[in-house]
Amino acid sequence: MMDPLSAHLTNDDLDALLDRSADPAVVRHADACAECRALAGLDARVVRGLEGLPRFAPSAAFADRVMAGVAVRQAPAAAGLRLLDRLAPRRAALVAVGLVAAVSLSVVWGALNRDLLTAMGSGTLDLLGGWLWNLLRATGAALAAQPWYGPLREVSASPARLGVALTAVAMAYGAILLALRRLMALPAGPRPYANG
Amino acid sequence: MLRTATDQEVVTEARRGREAAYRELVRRYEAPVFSLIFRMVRDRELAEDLAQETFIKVLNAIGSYKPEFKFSSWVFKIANNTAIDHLRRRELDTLSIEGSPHAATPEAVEATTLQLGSPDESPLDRVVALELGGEIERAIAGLRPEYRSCIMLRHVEGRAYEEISEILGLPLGTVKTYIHRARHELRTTLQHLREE
Repeated sequence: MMDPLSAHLTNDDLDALLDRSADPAVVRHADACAECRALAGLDARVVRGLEGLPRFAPSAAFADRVMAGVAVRQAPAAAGLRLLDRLAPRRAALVAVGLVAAVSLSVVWGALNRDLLTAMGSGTLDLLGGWLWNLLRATGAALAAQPWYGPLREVSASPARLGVALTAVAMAYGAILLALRRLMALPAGPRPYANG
Repeated sequence: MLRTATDQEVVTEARRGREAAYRELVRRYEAPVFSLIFRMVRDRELAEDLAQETFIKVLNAIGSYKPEFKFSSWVFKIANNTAIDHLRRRELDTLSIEGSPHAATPEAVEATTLQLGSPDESPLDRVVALELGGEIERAIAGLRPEYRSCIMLRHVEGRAYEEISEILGLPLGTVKTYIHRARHELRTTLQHLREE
């Protein structure tokens, strides 16, 4: 048997009829089609029945039982929350003012203590420079001790061999990129599972 | 003053440590939260326990509530999660309007039976409302828990699709689908009302 809902008024049409916001064409169809008129009538009756259902009330001591299980927020916490509530709309402005104040204070302090800043700066630079130099030397020594360092140096000694090696590496890199692109491409045809 | 304040204002007062604000939040949401949970679990005593658990979670975490979200959405989210977690633990999906299947004594059956209708109605209105309300309550009880949450939030609590999506943490399309399917199931179950 054909479902009159799918053949005639849709669920959205029935919603619109209930809300009295239906398109005139929908209203005309509902007037003209006996099946849809009956369906809309039954729908409206069901909804009126639902809207007319009574509300139930819990027993009289319900609120007291609830309150027995509730920890009413104490005054200091409430005061802190109140302050946060008041500040909430101005939070962005407060953050901006705080940042400007911090930067201004640091500039003033820097101007007043220039000698101290210079001494601290040069000492720190010397220390950092020493660490970097030691790190470079240690890295160089470690690389030179590797077994592949000798052959690599021989290859790099000849510009022709170096060119061939670099071209081979570039081609291998390109081939890997192409393979990855093919692997990650979406299938172009329709997917059989798309419509369930 | 608290009675006329918005949810956000009451939450602000609660965060300031005013116990009266906590009680006001319970007063505002105890009936909708309890009704939602009651219709999910169909057991008054259990629904009270789960609603109590919901409010204790909400009020103890009031400091972490983000005011950019609707407070009601946050409360319903916690209530729904609490009910769904319980249903998953107990595998309590479809239940009877005539009382909890876990009720062992006649008194327990009586206590867990849904009380339908309002005391302000005339006897005839009351009979009709009880009949329709009872039919709908039975039909809701037969829905999947996910559909039940969605349909109640939409048509009993009057929440927008977008808000339900936020409350349940589901995509908007899924929420619409669940609501349409739930209404379809309710229409099918209540088909015999068509001629009335």
